[in-house]
Amino acid sequence: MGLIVSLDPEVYFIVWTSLQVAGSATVLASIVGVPLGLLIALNRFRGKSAVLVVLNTLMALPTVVVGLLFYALLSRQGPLGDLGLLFTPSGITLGLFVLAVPTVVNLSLAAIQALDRNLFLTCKLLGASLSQEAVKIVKEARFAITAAVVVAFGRVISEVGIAMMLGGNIRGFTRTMTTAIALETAKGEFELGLALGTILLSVALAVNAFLFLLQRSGKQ
Amino acid sequence: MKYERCNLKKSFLTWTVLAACMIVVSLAHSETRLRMSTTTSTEASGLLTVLLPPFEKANNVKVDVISVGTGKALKLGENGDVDVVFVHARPAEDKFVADGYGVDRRDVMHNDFVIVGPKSDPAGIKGAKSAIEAFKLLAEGKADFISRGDNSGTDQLEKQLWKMAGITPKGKWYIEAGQGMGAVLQMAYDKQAYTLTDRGTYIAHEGKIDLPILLEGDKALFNPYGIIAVNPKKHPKVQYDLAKKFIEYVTGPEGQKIIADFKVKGKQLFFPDAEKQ
Amino acid sequence: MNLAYEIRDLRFSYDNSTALFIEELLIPSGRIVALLGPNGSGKTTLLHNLAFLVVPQTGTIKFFGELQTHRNLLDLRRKVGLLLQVPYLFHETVLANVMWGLRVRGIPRNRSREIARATLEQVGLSGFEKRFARSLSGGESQRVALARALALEPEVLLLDEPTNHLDKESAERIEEIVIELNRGYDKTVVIATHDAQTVQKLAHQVINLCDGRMVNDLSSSSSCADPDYNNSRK
Repeated sequence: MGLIVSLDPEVYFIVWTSLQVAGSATVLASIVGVPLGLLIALNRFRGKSAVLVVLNTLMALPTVVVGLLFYALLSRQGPLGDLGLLFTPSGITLGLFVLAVPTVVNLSLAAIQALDRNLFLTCKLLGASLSQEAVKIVKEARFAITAAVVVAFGRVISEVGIAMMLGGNIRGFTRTMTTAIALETAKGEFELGLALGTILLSVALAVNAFLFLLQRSGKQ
Repeated sequence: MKYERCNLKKSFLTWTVLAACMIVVSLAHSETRLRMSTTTSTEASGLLTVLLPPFEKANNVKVDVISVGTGKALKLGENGDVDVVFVHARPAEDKFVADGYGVDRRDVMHNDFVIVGPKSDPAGIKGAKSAIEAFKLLAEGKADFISRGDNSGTDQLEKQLWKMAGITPKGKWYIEAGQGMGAVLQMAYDKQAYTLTDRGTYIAHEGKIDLPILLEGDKALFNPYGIIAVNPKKHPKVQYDLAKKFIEYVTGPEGQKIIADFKVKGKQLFFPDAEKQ
Repeated sequence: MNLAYEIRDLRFSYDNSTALFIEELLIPSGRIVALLGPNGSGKTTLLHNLAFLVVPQTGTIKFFGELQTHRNLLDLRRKVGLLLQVPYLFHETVLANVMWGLRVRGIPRNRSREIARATLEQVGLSGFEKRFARSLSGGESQRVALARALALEPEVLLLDEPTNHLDKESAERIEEIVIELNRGYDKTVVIATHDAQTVQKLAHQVINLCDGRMVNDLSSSSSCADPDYNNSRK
């Protein structure tokens, strides 16, 4: 309890690292995932059902699998070793990005498919170009799409396997809230682990509250 | 409506800027970093927080410590993902060097292990003359024993002791936890079982875990630490020169003094071992 | 006389089944033309073709002399206004709904706002600007959709059964506006309906559709003698 109130700079840095990697990963995943979800939702193409099935499966990707896979890729021995991403926050962000994209794509897709078909017609008959229509569609589905982003953020900020394997839990560099909790628990420091867990929950709550308020102001 | 739209735009803008900052910051890490893999118990002991800073300051580098199980620490060295390996598992270390993955191995220090257990000592190991004898008694009495079970340095020592005692531990009493030392100690306390632990972790948990030391001092329980540079011939991109500097620091007078002076709860944990070269 | 539409040999199908086959259709400008026919006769499909929302597989459409190709689709679309049977309003204010089409055409915000306000007044919805569009009644929604289309000053206005789901008063209002547009502003109007009274009131010309084709007399085919044909308004 005291840890939360005391201004231990190490704890703040851990929280900041978590936010940084989870935030970047979520933002990047949204930039890639929402347009992709839009494309898949609105177009008919051969193999579409296969793509949908694969997407659904990817949503349940075990994080350790992603961690292992990317460790193999990013290791000095691996094909992407020269990028020097292993054991850096960017490495974690990359792994989290891969984890988040299927979720964002899938849920955005669902959000757009749930829209009234007349929306697409209406955009066209009002003379919108394709890109104008795309923007409008995303706007009309904004609540569901924001929810998708929030889900993705929740997933990445609370995951341990990728952060551990790709980050290495390096003190002062790649230690996130989740890897710190794992470490303290392994050391038997359950109280400390719980305290960090409480902080993690509070941070997640704060982000969600912020996004909720953002949505609310948009409703007006 | 005008004002609400303005606010919405502003908050989206700030959010995007914040996100951009995060991305930029996470990409910028241009300091020179020396990567070292070590064991969880080593980092948990707290030694590194006093041992590393003087080196970091003097050479203007950051030492990244990746603490994992001994097996993984050596594997990271094999893969060239770290520059230097600092573990306490002599046979595995020797193999590491023999296989050509490591060079410049040096002794650094040693700490020791102790056998702890319930106050009542149902297996009666308290008077045992050696660790091997104690292990024999544990197996005979089928007393609950928690093993690390994770191929860590501690685990490897434990397995070696069983081997020397001529026993293959099997049965309900032998519990392989697959976790770190702290968690295993907690488990031993909860179950009132025996376990083998390094003194450092034991001292760190002394207040919370009331399991007395039942056997200590046997040379077989000494836990020597070695430091090895990853072979630049196998992985040209490792920072061999920096790793060498670090090894010289740790085995030199300054590093060895810090090791000797390091105390947990007033007790010395590590005993410097580096030979003068 | 100017022709708003000149259609020849038009064939349109959704997924292999031909929905529409029109050998020749000439719609003069400045007239109100009624499209009559039962459900499924192809009225909506024809309107969507006239609105350039879809491209026919074969045949030609000339819009005020300009031939429709794949390249000028967006341009032609912007010259035609279409009201769907059930309008889709954006999850925004009424004013924002009406402004969007203008903004899409690059008209600056302030000017868009002015035009939108004026058009809302034209359809009798002054004071509705800040209302959330989705909270309006059927009649009000249809008028918003109408304002949305009119703000863009289309050369032709197409209406797909506009008074179908509306109460008497709202329906009458819409009809008044249509008449005003035609008499006062010379707008070409094509209105799909199965209401005889609407036809009587508004149309200069009637086109009968049955099973995707034009026929002279609807009662000649049993499948097209629409029981609703003689219904009066609710």
